[in-house]
Amino acid sequence: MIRLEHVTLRYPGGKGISDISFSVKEGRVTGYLGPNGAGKTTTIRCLMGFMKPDGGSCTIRGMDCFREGTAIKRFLGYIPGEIAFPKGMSCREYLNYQCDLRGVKDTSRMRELMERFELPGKGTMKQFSKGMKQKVGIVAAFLHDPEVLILDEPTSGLDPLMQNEFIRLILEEKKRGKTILLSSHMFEEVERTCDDVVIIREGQIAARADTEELTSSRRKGYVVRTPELARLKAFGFPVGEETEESCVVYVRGSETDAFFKQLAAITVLDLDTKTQTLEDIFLQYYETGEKSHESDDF
Amino acid sequence: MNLTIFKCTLKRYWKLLLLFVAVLCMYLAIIISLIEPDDMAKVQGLFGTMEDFMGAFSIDIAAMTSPLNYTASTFFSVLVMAFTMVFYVILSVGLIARQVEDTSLSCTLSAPVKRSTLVLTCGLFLIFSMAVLFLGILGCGLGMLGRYGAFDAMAYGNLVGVTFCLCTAVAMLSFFLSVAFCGSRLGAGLAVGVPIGLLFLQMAAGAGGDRTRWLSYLTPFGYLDSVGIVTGEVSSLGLYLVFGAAVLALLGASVAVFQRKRLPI
Repeated sequence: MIRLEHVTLRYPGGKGISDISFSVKEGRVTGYLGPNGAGKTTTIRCLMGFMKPDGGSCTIRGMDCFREGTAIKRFLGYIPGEIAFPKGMSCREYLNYQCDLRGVKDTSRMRELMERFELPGKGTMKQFSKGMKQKVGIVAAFLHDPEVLILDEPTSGLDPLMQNEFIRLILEEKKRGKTILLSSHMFEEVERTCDDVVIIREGQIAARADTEELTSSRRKGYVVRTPELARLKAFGFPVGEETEESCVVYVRGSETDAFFKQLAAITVLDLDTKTQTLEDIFLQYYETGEKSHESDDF
Repeated sequence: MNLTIFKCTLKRYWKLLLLFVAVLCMYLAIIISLIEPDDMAKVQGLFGTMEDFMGAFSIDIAAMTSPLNYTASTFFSVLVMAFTMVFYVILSVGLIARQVEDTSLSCTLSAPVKRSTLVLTCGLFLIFSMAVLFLGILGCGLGMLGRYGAFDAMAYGNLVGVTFCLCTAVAMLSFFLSVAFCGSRLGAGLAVGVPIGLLFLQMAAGAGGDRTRWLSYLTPFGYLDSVGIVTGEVSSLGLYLVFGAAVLALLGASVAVFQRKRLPI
């Protein structure tokens, strides 16, 4: 449904994205993660037709995102990373504006979403908080019941209740067979909604994997307090958080015996366990840029 | 053209438009009310005390031989060019460039709206706004001049028409520059700076006498001989064609440029 093949876009300053290839199959929710400045928004701008890539192709349903952007947007919903609205409009005026632009005559879905996300119809959006503006953006993206959604940090600024409400909405849309590309820093949101994850770093794909596969391949973390940290790190197991006296070592189930035999060779002052969350896995890419799981395109 | 975008833009700018119509009409009314049609020499004397200063504003005191000539010489000089310029630079920067800068344009372009339709609609709105401004000037001028008795209303209408085409052409240039350079620091700067620069050239051409008169050939404002148009000495057909073609060409160029533009929204 959404396909990027060898997409490259360079800004005059040299940054951008390089040789990005991945796809989002119909009916799937794909998480698109990466540290700040990695290239997530640039990728999304290519998909939205706001920028034409220097090389490669971006297509949605086989249509080129730049040349046929208008046709694509008939069935596409979008939440931008930075919400900004035309000046002087109230919430209802803006949503009616979106309905008019899209030729949506039946506003029942819009009203239903406004109620769900507790949006007032009155008041200029100048007075709205970031969270309120984000809710308006969410309603605007979903009000025409699009088949494809591109969401750039959709829960940014939302309170925990509204975040949960948004996750429920995504899961409902997923059940209805919608295709969603979700760029986010909220690991819990990605864990709960995404079937697949693509991680980008410094403009290139660092990893892509099935969320279920990632979850099942989680390692167990052992918090080891020892005065011989250097020897512990030399064992060769992935190491997480570290302090002066301790560090977290991540061990797969099959490696447990080997780990404990090596551990017996050093002085251990304390030992505790810690299960590796998806956040821990993702943070490895944010910090070190290691490539880990690479499966075929989804 | 997209009517939804047009209506939304009108809602955003109608107060500014009305304000400028009111200011221009008020200014025109005050200027015309200074006339003593039976004693135009007195009016010439009033302006004659500031002859050099009047030159900078392209005001020809010697031409003030009738209320219509007086109006053409005073109001339809640098004054109308400057006042309308303030209006159209605000508009031309706000229509596209400002929305790219604050990323609010993504709200419109995330809907199934072609870039060409968006720019065409904004460009047409600019032309429409200029037309409203000059319709106000036309109506106010006809009313005020009519108080002094019969006058050549067609000539006045013709002058308003040519001035409208000229100012709209420069407005379109400002719009084109704001669209071509939107997303960069140059966008707003060029859209404001180039028209002001052209106006300063005209003022310099008038202020320096014969030494600097050649500068008027470097700016489109220098081709507006307002007194010549009302007296019939200058043919306005060529001016309509040139300025009209400039408006259409710049609008077309704006559409062409924007379709290829990288938008950081």
